[in-house]
Amino acid sequence: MPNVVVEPATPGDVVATWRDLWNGEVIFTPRGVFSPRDVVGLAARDRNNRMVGLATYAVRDRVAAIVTINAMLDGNGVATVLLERIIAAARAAGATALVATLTNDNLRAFAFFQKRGFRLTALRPGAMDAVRARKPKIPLAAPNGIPIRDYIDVERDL
Amino acid sequence: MTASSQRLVVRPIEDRPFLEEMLKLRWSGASILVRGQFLAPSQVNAFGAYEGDDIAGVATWRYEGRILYLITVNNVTDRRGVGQALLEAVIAKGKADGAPLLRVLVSNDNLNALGFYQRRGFRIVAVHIGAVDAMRTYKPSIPEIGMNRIPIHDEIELEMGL
Repeated sequence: MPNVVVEPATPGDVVATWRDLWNGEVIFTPRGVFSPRDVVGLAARDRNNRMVGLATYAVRDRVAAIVTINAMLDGNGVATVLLERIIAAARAAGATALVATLTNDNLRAFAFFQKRGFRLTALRPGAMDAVRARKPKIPLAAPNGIPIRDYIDVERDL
Repeated sequence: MTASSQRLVVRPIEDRPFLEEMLKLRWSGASILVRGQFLAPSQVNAFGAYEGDDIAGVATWRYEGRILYLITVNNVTDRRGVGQALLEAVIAKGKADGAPLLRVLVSNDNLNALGFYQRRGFRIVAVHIGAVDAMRTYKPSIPEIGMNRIPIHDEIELEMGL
């Protein structure tokens, strides 16, 4: 387990992370557009109080949706800790399912979720074309060379 | 890059007994699951990538109507570029035949293939949820856990225009 403390994120944490890592101030998802005030944020901080991970989620109608999840350092288990905290919080809030949406280029996220109990539930072909029209900073292709085009939905029971 | 003095040459594998014997060994249970059906080695054609007389990789394909399906691509050695060379040969074959589309299916655990094909002009066109689970009922030897320790449940269909 990584040596981090997970605590509620400040609105500034969410705004800064979305601006720096998500190309804008809001997140487009199949369940609607989320602004920072629509989500619960969890920040993981190391012993120097540096933010090393941030996750945001929202619970509606017994379904919890992960809006974003980021680990600023690779491979140290921060994303896993954040996911575990979301699962616990979502259960406490009465949610019975946890959903997430990733893009077709994001093979690491696809592996991450599938290794942690999530099942593929749907493909939304071409969804990112519409998102890109509203968020022009989203590149045509990811750094791994894969064109960014589609949403892939994953889901697990809680 | 793996150094190699031998040029890679891709050509059809015409020796059917050899091909079918090799595929029987590679395909557990001597068949492969694609799109909710089991295919036997006798139902596919193949290209081999050769270094001299040695085979470095095999791609299998078949037509369903006018649509060309890439069934498997396997690297037999660790030489790089074999999958790419085989894919190019299949694409060239489809174009020469006038096929409009090339399709391939990957299981949900096979992220390497999902990346490989998406980087080379394929896009995801469908997900077949539970397709592998359904076939496991008939063929219990299909493993529950696949690559990357991911449970195998689904097929993901990719396509490129030719």
